[in-house]
Amino acid sequence: MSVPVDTQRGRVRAGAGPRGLLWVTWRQHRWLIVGTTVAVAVTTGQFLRGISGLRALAARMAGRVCAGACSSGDSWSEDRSVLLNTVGQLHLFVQVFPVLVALTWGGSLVSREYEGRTHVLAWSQDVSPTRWLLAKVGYLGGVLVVLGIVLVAADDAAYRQALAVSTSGDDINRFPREIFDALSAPVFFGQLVFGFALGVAVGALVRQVGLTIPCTLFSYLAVMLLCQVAEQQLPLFRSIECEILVGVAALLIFLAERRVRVRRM
Amino acid sequence: MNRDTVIRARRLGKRYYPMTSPRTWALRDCTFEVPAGRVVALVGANGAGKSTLLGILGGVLAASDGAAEVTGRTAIVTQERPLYRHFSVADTLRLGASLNREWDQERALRWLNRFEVPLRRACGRLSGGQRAQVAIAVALGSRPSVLLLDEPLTNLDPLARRDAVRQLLTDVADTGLTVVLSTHLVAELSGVADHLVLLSRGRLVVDGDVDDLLAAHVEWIGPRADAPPAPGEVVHAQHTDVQSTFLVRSLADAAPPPPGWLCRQVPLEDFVLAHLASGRNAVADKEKAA
Repeated sequence: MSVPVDTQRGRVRAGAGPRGLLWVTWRQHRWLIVGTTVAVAVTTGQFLRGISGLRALAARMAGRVCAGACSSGDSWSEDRSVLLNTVGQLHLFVQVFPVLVALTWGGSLVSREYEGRTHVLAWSQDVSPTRWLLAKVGYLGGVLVVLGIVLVAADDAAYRQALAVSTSGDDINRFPREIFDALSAPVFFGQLVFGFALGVAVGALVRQVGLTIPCTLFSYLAVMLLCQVAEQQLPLFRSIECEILVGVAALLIFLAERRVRVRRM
Repeated sequence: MNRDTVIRARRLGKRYYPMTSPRTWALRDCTFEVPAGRVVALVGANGAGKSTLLGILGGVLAASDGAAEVTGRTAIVTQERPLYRHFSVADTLRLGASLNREWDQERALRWLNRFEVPLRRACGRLSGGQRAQVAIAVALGSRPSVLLLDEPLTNLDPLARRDAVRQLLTDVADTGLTVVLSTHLVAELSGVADHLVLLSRGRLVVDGDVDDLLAAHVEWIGPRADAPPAPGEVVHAQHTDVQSTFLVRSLADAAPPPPGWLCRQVPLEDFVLAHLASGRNAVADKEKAA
């Protein structure tokens, strides 16, 4: 990204716009973005390896479907168990991804600024705290959605391949639950967006990184527990869970914006 | 606001904890004006409300009461001089360019080069004085018409302090910049500030053109006495066993001093210290009465 310079007058007149804020966001959070992207890439690579293995296994198993649980003596049984275990562990990473995002991406976004007092530097320029916050949430949220799409796609493909080699319900139960069904992707994105917004809002409220992380973790787990209870009690809840989580996320960002607008020094 | 006035504060007040007692006012009932192109010394003891006033003028704090108007672009350098520790100095300038509608890279670089601040070094590895120079460079780069500096010279060595002040005065002369300088270094104000705003416990004690203020005061030194030998409002009195010193506000020309008395123009440092002491006593009396 370059900033046009009027060499005759030695003046730069390009700041305070989306490009300027994009550069600030990248420069401040580049290691977090790169680190998370690498983690997602490695996970996706492992998923692809698992999918490839499962596909080869499915070919070996073709026409030899067991009626119940296959006996441990079958030639593919051990391979299948190893592959499903691997994919199951990768799936666990996908499940905890939203809470990791809440703690690292969301939790540090505002609280680190307050803790280092750098918010005074950032918010005393021509960009208002509101624009600063919304731009960062927008840019980082966009990156997270892209990474989330990659993860969910790999996870979903792995699940489909796991189904092909599954001969018993027990194997599928390794993959804890709904993320694999038709509603899983929206719920995952709901959790991702909610977790990020929760970290931002808690950080804006408590203003210390050390306090933001446990508060965010506790709040996130409490909300997820509530969601589980609601799923059990209200059959329709799952169909609107994503919308509810995104709505709460929007409310949290609104509250964070109110907070940073007031506490600027 | 007059055409030449760049700062106007009217009954400005700031309360940090509105739910608690009224004693938590950091700034109260503060009314003053500053003409353009001045170097304003904002002086007061610790907790006088200087940083709060600068924060309000700089737009990073909201006033609880009254209003403040600042004409043109404002830049503020706060006491902590916060910088992103992992940003290099060059990155910090780019941050300034990215977050401001107007940016003068040459001006910011000129300031840093003058004080030999290495552009490639991370801000976290700079000395306190260098960090102060980077913060001032970012503020100047945003091409402000009003520059608010909260204790900016504290971390600088005497030579750098003198150079920084000289350079700021040059900028004032060249660009019409108005500088508001909060400081404890009262001794170094003389010859630098041409406007004074003096706070004590959140209240404005005195403000105005330095020359006018000094011309309106005289200092009487003589044998111990309860009152000065000429009429005028006693701002501050100081006594030893054998000697009395009075700072007197007097519009009339001073009469020839009676035998044993010395009448002199008060230096800026003595004027400020006397008003600080007087302001502290007056505010304490007012609070007791309340």
